[in-house]
Amino acid sequence: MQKSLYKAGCTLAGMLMLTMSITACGSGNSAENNGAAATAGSGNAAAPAAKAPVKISYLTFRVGTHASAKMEEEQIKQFNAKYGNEVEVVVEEIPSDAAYVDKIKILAASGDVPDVVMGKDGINDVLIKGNLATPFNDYLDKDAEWKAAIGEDALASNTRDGKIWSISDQKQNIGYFYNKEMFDKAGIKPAETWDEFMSNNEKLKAAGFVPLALMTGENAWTSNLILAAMIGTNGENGKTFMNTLHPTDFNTPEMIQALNMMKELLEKYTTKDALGAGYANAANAFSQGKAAMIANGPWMIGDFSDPTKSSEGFDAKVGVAAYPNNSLISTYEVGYMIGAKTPETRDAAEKFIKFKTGLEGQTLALEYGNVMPVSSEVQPSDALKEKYPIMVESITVAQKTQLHYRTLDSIVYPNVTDAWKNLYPKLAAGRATAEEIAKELTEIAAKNK
Amino acid sequence: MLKKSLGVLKYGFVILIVLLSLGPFLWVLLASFKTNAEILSNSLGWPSSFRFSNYTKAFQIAPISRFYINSVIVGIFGTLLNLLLLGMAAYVLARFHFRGKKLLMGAFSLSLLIPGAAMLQPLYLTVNALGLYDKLIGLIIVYTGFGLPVSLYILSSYFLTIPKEMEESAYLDGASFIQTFFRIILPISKPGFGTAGVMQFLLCWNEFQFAIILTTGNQSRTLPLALYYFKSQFASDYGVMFAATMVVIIPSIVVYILLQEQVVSGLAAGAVKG
Amino acid sequence: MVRKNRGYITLFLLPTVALFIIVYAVSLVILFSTSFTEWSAGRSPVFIGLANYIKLFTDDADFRQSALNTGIWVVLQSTVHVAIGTLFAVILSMKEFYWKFARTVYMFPNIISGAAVGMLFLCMLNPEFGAVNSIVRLFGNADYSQNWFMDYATAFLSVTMTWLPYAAVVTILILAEIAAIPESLFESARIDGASNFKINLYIIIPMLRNIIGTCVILSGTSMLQKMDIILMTTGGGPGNQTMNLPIYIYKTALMDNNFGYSNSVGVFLIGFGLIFVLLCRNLFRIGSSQN
Repeated sequence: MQKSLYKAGCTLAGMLMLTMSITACGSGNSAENNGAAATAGSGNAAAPAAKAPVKISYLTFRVGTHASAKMEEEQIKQFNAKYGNEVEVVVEEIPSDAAYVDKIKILAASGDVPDVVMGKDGINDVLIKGNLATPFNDYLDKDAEWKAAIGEDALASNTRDGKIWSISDQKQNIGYFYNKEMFDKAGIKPAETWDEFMSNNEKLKAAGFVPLALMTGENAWTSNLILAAMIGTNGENGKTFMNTLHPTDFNTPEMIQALNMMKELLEKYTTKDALGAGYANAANAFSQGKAAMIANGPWMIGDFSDPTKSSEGFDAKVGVAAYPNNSLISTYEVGYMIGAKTPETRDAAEKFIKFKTGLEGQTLALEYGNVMPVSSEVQPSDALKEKYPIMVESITVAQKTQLHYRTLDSIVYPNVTDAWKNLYPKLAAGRATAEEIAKELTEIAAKNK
Repeated sequence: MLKKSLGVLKYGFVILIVLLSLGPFLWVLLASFKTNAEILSNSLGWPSSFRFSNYTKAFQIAPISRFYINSVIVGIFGTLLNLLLLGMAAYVLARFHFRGKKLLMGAFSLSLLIPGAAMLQPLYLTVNALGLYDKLIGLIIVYTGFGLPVSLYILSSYFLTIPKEMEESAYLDGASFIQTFFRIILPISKPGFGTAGVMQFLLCWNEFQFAIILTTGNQSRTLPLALYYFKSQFASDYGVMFAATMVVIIPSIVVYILLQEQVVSGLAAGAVKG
Repeated sequence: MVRKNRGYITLFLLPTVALFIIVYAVSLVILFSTSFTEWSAGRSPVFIGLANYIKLFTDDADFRQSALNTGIWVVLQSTVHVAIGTLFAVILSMKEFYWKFARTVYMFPNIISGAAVGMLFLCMLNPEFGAVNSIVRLFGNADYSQNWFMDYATAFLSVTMTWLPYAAVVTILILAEIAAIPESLFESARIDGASNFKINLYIIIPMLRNIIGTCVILSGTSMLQKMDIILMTTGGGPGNQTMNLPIYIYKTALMDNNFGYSNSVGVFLIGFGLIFVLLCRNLFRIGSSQN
């Protein structure tokens, strides 16, 4: 027995040795290839006569049933129409956001970052730490118009140590949607304080409705928006917490208080399947008239008049509200980064990103994806306003709010985002107190590398 | 009395197994014809009408037909290559004693145990270095390798049941080593190959994680990826999701039923051995 | 015979050895060597000796829970699961009227990809609209809403039930083997007056030693790779109730970006699996011919 184990060990060692030499060759080769590509690139720059379009690679998860699939398609189509003879965008579709993040990390670990990368879910950190991205400072200094179209705030949110690592393509203004019919029957209006919010829940429940469409599966999106609002409106400390990148200490009174409130919501005021539910469950609970409120952004507005998702005339019943204390979640997306390695592909990547994030791209995003632009110059067209009156309402609501904070997903490390689906059920089942959950969150954040 | 209660137990067991297997499948089949509202309000009931809109929509959203063709190619060649290579290796390992056999078996057993997540990046590097990135042949080779341990175990344990006399008489008749393997051993091992083939085909047909890491374009992507076109963040249409699920799994069921007939006819041939 | 055929033996083994090297060897090298390093995505590994392993065994509650769950599942799968499959095979081998139908249908859940099975069970067991709760409601209890996957009392069991009863692979493997048993053996047993039950117990089952051993190994080790169904249904929760080593490895690598640590868990998993496989090979004397 031992003997065969020992033997297996020996063979393995032998094979490992063999492969070690193979891999060594392999990686040697790829390094050479990179070198070759770089020199070929600079050769081209010296001789601009060669006019074949520069190829750049771009991976996108905005495909299939993704809410922004239409907008992605349109942006790429229009970019090709305009710059197709200079830049050829080789698009790789990655269905599912999680698979996208995994693949980019594998590519990053192998030194093969695509030329244009969306930096969401911690990808920006990986690329910045690994020195795999090019900052935009030089490009923006040369192009004041583009700089203005993005705006100070959006640029600042993606700046680290003076370097602008990514260009935000959208502003997420997120309040919550509510069912006006149910609110009328319960005799309530959107709450202005958290006490009122809780008493509204009680009244809705008394009137026979499920107050909130929460979910704790996936990234616990609709629940975490409310949690973010509870923390962000809790005094100066809460506001600071919700506006700081990569918090490492979750053991704060604001977090604990919010978790306790969330526990109450999960226990009393949501659907029976909220624990473990995915976005689809929560969205359907609201759109099918089973729950009175859902926290989510304007990209959901299209669903309310989509007959496969909502009942006929449902959009007329939907109202938009800000969170208590006249506040709103307002986050700039991480947006696009340059992963390209040669000067040509970098310039081409910049061109593509400029188109997507400039006024033109922002307009397309708004019209086709109900995505809020980062520039105030971009306004919804009359056709859009007519099609989606809730869109106009949500813009008005956003303008009236005074207190702003970010989403949890955009400030915490991605492994913290991934932990909620395990922690919320633990909290709701009473297996851990809010204090213990907060402590655990701190430990998880410390694990991030 | 004992006999009777054993009989009741037996049928009870069979019925339970059939229900457990068929139930989920039928539920999804029914749901794939329903609207979202029907699924949520009336989960057990019959759909109000057998509309195919979910199916047409599924085909519009994801490049299903292209992925189908790729999956068929990868499935067929991944299975044939695997059965050929592993058939040869398993035969030698089951039949002959030679130095280093145990350590080879030990090393091959390791392939059952390596966690998939640990293989993602190394395999990406290897496939890239071999120039097989984003090529169907790359997927075929990788899947042939993934099926290595299972096919090896299934086939070698089948070869062990074949009486040695069969080969010995072949050698006496003057057949060569290769002739003996292909003319004598292969035909009577059909049930073993059938079973290993089914397992290998299903692996090729269903694998997702490596398919997405090792390919970039639609010309080399396979069907499981299509399923994820319906699982994006902020997607909530159950009906279409179920229709897409059906589109992916029905062919595998058909293939299984067809291949199964192979296994069954092989079973009859198996009796020859006795 | 061996000496004469040495060339052929090499020829027959070579392609598989090459395949093994291409697909697995590089992973094994990287896995082992980086398990002694601190390594995260996009940066170079730094040697840190045994630090990963020390942390693993002394200070990691999630790892302990994952290892425990993995162990339980390996044991359940290599015993209960294989027993169900074997029993069903023996019943089907009597070739009563339903045998082909039952055999085909039993395979359905195994045909479907793990992710799709996960999605399917997630919907079937949904507390609001899932089929299971709806059936319970039909039988009286109108307010019934068990949250199967997220309740501490049922989560582990619910996840286990998504694979434990579905032993069709075991069944077809064993059926193929039963078909290879010479008919003459059965006949002589019948002449001696043995009942069907006794034939099964004393003649068929012992003849299946090799294949049952194979099934135990394949079923047991499949639990060392089980990931997508769990990710799709409970995500390892509630808390870490249904976490297993593959998920822990995946999360550590791709969520924490801690490739080095994740690979040390991988080495543990391989060691654990190797012990299991060797144990089974010895127990069932796999590899020795039965005649």
